[in-house]
Amino acid sequence: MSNHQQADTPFRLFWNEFRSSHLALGALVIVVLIITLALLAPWITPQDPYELSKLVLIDARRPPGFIGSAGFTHWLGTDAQGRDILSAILYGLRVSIQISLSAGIIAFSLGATLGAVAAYFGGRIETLIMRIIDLQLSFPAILLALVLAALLGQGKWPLITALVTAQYAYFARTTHGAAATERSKDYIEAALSTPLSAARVVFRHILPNCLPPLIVVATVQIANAIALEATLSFLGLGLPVTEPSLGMLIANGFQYMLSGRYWISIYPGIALIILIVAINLVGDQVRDQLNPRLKR
Amino acid sequence: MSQAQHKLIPNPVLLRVSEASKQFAPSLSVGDHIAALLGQKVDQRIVHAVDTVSLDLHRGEVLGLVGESGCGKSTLGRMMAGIYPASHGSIMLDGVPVMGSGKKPLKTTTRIQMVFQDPFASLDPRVRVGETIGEGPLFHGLVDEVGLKDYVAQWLETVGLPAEAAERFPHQFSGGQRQRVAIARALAMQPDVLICDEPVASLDVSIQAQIINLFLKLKNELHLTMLFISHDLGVIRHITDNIAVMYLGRIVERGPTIKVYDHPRHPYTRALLDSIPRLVTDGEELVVFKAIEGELPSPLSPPSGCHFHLRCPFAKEMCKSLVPDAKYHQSSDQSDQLVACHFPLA
Amino acid sequence: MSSVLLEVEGLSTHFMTRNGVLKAVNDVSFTLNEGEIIGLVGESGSGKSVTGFSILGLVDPPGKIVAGSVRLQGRELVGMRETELRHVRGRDISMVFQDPSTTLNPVLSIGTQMRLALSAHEPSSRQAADARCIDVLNKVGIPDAARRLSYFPHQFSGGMRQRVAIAIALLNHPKLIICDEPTTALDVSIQAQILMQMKTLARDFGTAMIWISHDLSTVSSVASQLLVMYAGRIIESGPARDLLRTPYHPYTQGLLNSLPEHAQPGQSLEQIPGQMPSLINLGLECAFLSRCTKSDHACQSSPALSTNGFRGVRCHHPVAGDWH
Repeated sequence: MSNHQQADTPFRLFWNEFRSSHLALGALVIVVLIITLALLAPWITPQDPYELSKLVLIDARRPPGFIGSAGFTHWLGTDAQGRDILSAILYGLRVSIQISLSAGIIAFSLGATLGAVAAYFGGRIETLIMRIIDLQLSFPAILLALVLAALLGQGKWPLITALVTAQYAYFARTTHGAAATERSKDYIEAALSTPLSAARVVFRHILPNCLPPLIVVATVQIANAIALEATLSFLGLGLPVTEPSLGMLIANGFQYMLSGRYWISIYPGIALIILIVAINLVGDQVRDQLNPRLKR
Repeated sequence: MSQAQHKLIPNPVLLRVSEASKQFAPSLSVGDHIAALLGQKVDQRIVHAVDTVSLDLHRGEVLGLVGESGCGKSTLGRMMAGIYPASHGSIMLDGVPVMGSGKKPLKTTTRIQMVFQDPFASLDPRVRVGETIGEGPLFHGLVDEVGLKDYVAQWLETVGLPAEAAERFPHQFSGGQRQRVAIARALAMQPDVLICDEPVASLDVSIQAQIINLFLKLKNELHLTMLFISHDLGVIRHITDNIAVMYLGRIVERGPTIKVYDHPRHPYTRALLDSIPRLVTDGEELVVFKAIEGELPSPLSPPSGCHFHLRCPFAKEMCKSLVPDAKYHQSSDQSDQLVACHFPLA
Repeated sequence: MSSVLLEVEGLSTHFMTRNGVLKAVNDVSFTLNEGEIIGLVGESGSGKSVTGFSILGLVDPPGKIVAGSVRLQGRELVGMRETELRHVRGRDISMVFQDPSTTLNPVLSIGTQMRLALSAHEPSSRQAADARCIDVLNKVGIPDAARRLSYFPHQFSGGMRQRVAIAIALLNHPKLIICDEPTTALDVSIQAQILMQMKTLARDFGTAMIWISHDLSTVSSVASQLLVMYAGRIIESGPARDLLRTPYHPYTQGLLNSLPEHAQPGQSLEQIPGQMPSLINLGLECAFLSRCTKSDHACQSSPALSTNGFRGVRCHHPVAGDWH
């Protein structure tokens, strides 16, 4: 029937092309690896860094390779409280990823729906929604997140709320642009002239076709969320001291940098960088692939 | 239905367009509103797409709507399909308005369906064609979940595609096949009227014949009432019973297709027919055509009086100021031909 | 007897795609004399546009001219360095594309665009350049040319824009203009005007033209010779009148028969079944085999183009019986 024997779904076509870029594929592998390790943290780490009773102060500030009193090797050293840095990194990543993904998904859903609704209805509704979005986007995300985190106090949900508030506007803006383009296309006119309900047209037809630019924004925003969360924790907001995320680990270790105990800050920092860069590489490939697709 | 039969057995009017007009005006921005409040004259660029059109579509009739781009035929088609509301006038299906009232009117009926020009753009690229075809009927209760698969397969077969096609995505089909899917989608709603907007214009020449034959089959076997919009006079002549010619938003001539082609009464119709390059099988010249002078005026500022007077070789003084009414031609065997011209051709 | 302007011999352009080698143009050969207009006719996928682009070296990767030669008055264009090709483009050979709203730069006035086209090949004073531009604009039928030089493309209608594009193509007095579907995007009545204009211009300037189109009727109104392409090959050639009245290839005949003008209203049209095969896995058999009603076992091998000096056809079983 056609020239395409192998891939049929748009996703499979996309995946085939994605695979051919070794850099992006490698980055994706790294991301998946890190996420898997982080999620499995409670089962694979030698120590639970959040269990204060397990920490041995004598083992504090030991360099990488040190064999601690509990009998295992601290591959990346210990921090000021005697936590195994490697365990702390994995737990920290776990927390970071949980929070960023939750915030990302909520921001995505909220923003995409708002943007699509604004584009679909047009007129005053569109003006109202988009002006609020514009207003919000004119505030730096960090400022917004800082203020909210300070107001709402510490904890996971206040942090997620702050992140969602800082980020949903990007999704809304992107969706609005894409949805406005799709809205005027023939297949939407055809669906409307059947007639089909507005809800069905927006959710079954417009939004799925807005996915390409949205996915690009999503990858960038998740990386931003991780960085943002780390920043907030670094500054003392966000999570409590007893559940250190990567940002807090880096903050805690800062004072020891000059005295030569670099491992307390550097290794969490490197882990953060690797994760963010890998996510950005994946996002770059996705963006490049989705662009020339316009000329099929 | 032959031309003689058409005159003797007038079918009931199914879709009636009465003095319908459509203007497009871009909405004023907040700045413009403020300027208007302060007393400034705000230039509203109004496009007069359709101007006081009256048209009757009879049951079982295939009516061709021809004209160049900018003449309003696509807009009129969409008004009749319930996509654009008329600014003035009315469009009724069996006496019931096609669109509701209010600021953002919705289509009130499923009995009119549309086939769009570009098969690449009129199908959702992310939805399997089976779902595209079955979506509307399922939503409106024409079929239930259980019978959906067979229902879709039946319509695919009607347009000449295999049942397995339902599982595929639009990009896996060729242009002609996609257009068949678009036709199946319209037919699956079991419409009384099919509005086809340039359905073969985007297709390759050798595929056009296939789709034209499909339309002929639909006309003969399903007795569908169709409005066939096209700028291709050859295709129109082949498929339609009657034809309406539009120029800059107005209908200038209407009548049985063969009669209008053989004896056009409006100077524009005559000029349009003459301007199409036609292969001739005899004579010195291989191709004959004669270009119309001048440019198509802009629908933003249509000429006064008869819209065609600036390009008409027969224009006289009154044509500049007086809009011609559509009148039935007086001579005996042309009594079903409507012309809007002060000096129709003999 | 005019001299030979362009010789295309065995031209083949292939695209290296992920799914395989797409053979867009296969072994295309033809000759164009000075002042002659030939029509390159075919449907989408036939290779007609890619042939036009190949002549000007405008084929981008993953496409590549893999074989053949294109000689402009003896100079070989295939393999020519980009810096030299740039002197050929716009001066010796120009091109007019299909959609004037994308070929004209929307942010520059047409005067600026025309002056840029002129100065790319020949520096001259502003007055001289403007005078040349106005002259050409008049010739393509744009009224009030002097004032319109400062207009922007969006201030012109579609037909006018295409005339501007044609004017730009004519500015440097090229020997050859390649027109890729120049009237397809235009209204029927404007198309007729442009067709007449092009014919007159070609005659007045002595410019040769390659007119690429899918519409047999349009092409035949300007071209004296026709080349019919299918699946990347020339399958029929000859003088327009002769070819259209007596086609030899089943495809050409099928195409002509499927036109509504050649049938009785209301009757089924003769249709060519199926569709053009994929250009990626072209086999050894005749490319038209899957759609041909007159084929037999001989058609398992692709036929060569046979000519009698006047007409050419690539078919084992030409439809008119008198082929020799």
